[in-house]
This record gives sequence, structure tokens and C-alpha cells, in this order.
Amino acid sequence: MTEAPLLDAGIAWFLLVAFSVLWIALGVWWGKRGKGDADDYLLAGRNIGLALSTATLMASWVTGNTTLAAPEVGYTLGLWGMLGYALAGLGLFLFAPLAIRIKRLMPTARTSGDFVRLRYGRVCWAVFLLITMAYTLGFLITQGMGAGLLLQALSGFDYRLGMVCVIGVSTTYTLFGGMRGVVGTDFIQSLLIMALLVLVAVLGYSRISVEEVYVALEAEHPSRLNMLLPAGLLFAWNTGLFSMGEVFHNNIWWSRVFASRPSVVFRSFILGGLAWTTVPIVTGAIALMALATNLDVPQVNMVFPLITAELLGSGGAVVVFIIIFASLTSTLDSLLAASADLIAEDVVAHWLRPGISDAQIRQAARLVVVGLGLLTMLLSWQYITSMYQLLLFTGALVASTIWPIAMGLYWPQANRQAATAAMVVGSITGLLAYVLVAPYCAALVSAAVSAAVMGLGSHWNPERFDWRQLAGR
Amino acid sequence: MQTEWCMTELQQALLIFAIGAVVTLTTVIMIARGHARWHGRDPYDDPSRAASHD
Repeated sequence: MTEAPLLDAGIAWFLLVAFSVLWIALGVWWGKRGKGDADDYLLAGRNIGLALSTATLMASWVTGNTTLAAPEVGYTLGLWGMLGYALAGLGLFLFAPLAIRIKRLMPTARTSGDFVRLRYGRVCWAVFLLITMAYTLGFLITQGMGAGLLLQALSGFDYRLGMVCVIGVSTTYTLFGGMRGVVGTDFIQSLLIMALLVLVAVLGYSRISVEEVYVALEAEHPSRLNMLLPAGLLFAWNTGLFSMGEVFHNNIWWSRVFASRPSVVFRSFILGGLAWTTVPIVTGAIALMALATNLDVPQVNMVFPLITAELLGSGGAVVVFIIIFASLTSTLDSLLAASADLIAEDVVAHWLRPGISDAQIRQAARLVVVGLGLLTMLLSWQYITSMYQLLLFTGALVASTIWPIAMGLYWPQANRQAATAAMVVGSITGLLAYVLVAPYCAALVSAAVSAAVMGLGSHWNPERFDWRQLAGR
Repeated sequence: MQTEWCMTELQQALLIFAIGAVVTLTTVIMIARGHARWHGRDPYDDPSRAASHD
């Protein structure tokens, strides 16, 4: 935490109220434009075009962590921090070809759970649901805690007030707007984030040139330019594999595939990935500027707000508030909508109450949105751990799903027992690596072990899967 | 005679970097091969089944 808030309390209250009202009004308005059936509420009528699809992918992947942790690793690890964090775009790029296959194979499906259940059976589906629920809760908590901490640091708000406001606003417009409201607000939020980040970067580098930054870093912080920095080498691939695990398994991204038109699916993931990749590079470059100018940074995760305030004065704090508020709400709404979709469809409709109507599924999804919002507030009530450490921990779980998902989409030999074992063994070894080796290795070890188990298990005992089984739901 | 062998911090980091590169590259190749396998084909018309019927 910085010693004094960067933003005047009156301005902070005005921004909080103005953007809360704006997001809720837009979410509710967009939500009313659909037909009102379950497909409309959960998947925006399966008719999203290129611009909205790209924007919602980018906005959902720009989290509170991207805007604060990316400059933090740029500041501490230099070039490797910037490039390593940018590798998290790999998840979106590599999901583009998978997305086309999903869209063509499963035209009526609603969730990633539908794929795992139909492709690998109920045992694997149960393991998958456990992994995705654990990850989703961890992700929701990091965003909730991030909201409380950031609003406290920026504006002097009480931690719980900021946390409850951000989660409350996201929950409200997701509840009333459904996926249509989420996608619409994501569009505005992604434009705001990109425009303001570019503004900060252009203003910053107009004051100090790239050459001056390089010379200053070479003289005073040469380790930040060292491409053989051990911490940077450890960090590099973990982020890429973590992102693949997150994107390949999580219903946020699968729901975007089902919600988009077939003609735009591939391009939207590539463009969304490109747009997202610029964010850690731009914020990392801003952090390098802070190093080169010897800016006083009392707490390293506040480097981006501090340099923005330095560049733009009190206007800088306003810019940071808007970027962070948009980043947090755009991620929380996507997580809430996609998780509600998954729980209503997989847990309620396919497990607890088979045969319920579409209207009941829609009602169940709405109840889950409210329940998850309240649960996130409850679990984020106390600030218990480092947000980034918690994410690295969950990386061990999600990286174990990369090979079972990708191989299961393309190869009929992909075996259901191997897929289940790959997720279980990959998760366990990844968690052991987190504790015994280093947190940065968790996703890497999990992905490597899971790939070996999946590949060898399917080679020794190949399945002959009939792809038509995926045509239903 | 027992030889003591240990890795420096940089060697450990390079080893983990290399493993990460191999895992990532293998995943990319698997996806590229899968994409090429199904490109322009009916999504349910498996080429391996067609081959086994010949």
C-alpha cells in the first residue's frame, strides 16, 4: 500500500458511482434486447459478431492482475518479465484452431463440461468439474481481493467497501443482462482500457525516449536487460502454459465460442490474443520507464499507478482508477456468467435435476450468479494471501487439462481413462512442484506430466471414439 | 570414488526453461497436426476410420 491514496476521496466516490451506474444501466439495457430464452441468456443468442467477440475475449483476459502484476514483473524481472507475461496470450492464439473444431463438432452445446462429459464419460467429467470449480473460486477470490486492495490504495476506501462495490456491480449487471449484457459492457471496457493504456504509454515515452531508458537500465539496472536472468527463465514458459490451461478448459472461453458466429470464431481469438498481448508489453514498458527515471516505488505492485500519477498528475490517478475498475468488472462478469452457465447446465440440468426445462435452466443460472457473487464476497472478506501466489497455485490444476482437452478434440484415440489420470496425476505433481520446487514451476510440471500420461495412455490403449456423439448436448 | 554433482542456479533455470520450451512446442505441434487433419473435412468424418475401411 502507498502511504497516502493517489486519488481525492470525492473524485473517487464520483467515479465509483458513475461507472457503477453506467455498467448496470448498459448491462440491463443490453440484456432486454434478446428473446429471453436460455440460449439468449447464457450465450447471447449464439450470434455475436467479430468486433464484440474480439472485445469480450480481450476484456475478459485483462484482469486486475494484468494491469498490476504485468508492470510488477516488468519492474522486477525486466525484459523477461514483459515478454514472459505477454506469453499468456498463447492461450488465446492456440485456442483459435480448437475453437473452430468445437463450433463445428458441437453446434448445440453450451459448456466445456458438455464436451468432457460426452467425450470422456462421467468419471472424467466429475474430475474436470472439481478442477474448474476450484480454479474459478480461486480466480474469483483474486479479483475480489484485488478490487478491495486497489480501491483502498488508489482512493483510501475501506478494503471491504471497494471489494463489495466491485463484486456487487458485476453481479448485478450479469444477473439482469446475462451474456448479452456481459459482452456489451466488455466492448466498452476493452475500448477504455486500450485507449487509456496507449495514452499513458505515448505520454511517457514522449518524455523519455526508448534509447534513454535503455542507457539508464544498462548503467543502473543491467539485470533487467539480462536474457539469462534465472528468475526470468523460470517465469517464461510457466505463464504460457498457465494461460493454455486456463483458456482450454474454462467455460469463459468455451461460452464465447458457442456465443459467436461460426465465421468469426477463429479470427476473434487471434485478434483478441493480439490485443491482449499489447497490454503486458505496454504496462511492462511503463514499468521499465519507472526504473530508468529512478521513481520512488514503496510497493512494487503499485508501480503502474505511481508512474501514471507521475506522468499525468491527478488526472493519472483518475485514468488508473478507470482502467482498474474496467479490468476487474470485465473479468468478474465473465467469470460469473460462464460459471453460472456451467453450474446450471452441468450440475443442475445434467446431474441434480435431469430433464428440467430451458426456462428452469435460465432461472438456475440467475440464482447461481447471485450465489457466486455472495460467495466471492464472503471468501474475499479477509485478505489472506498474495493474489499472484494463489493464481500460480491454481495453475497446477488447470495446466493438467491442456492435453486431455486438445487431444480429445482432434484424435479419436484419446482415451478416457488416460484423460482422467492425466488430470489427476498432473494436478498432484504440479501442486507438489509448487510446494517443493518453486511456485513458477507448478503449471509447467503439471502440463508436462499430464501430456506424458495422456499421450502414452492413449498410445497403449487407443479409443475409437465416434465423433457423432458430440453432436448432441 | 564418489563425484559430487550439483547445478548452479542458472543451470537449473536453463533446464526448466528448456523443459518448458519442449512442452510448449510439443503442444503446438499436436494442435497444428490436429488442425491440419480436420481442415476442410466434415467434422464427424474421421480420416483414420476411412483409412481402416480400405
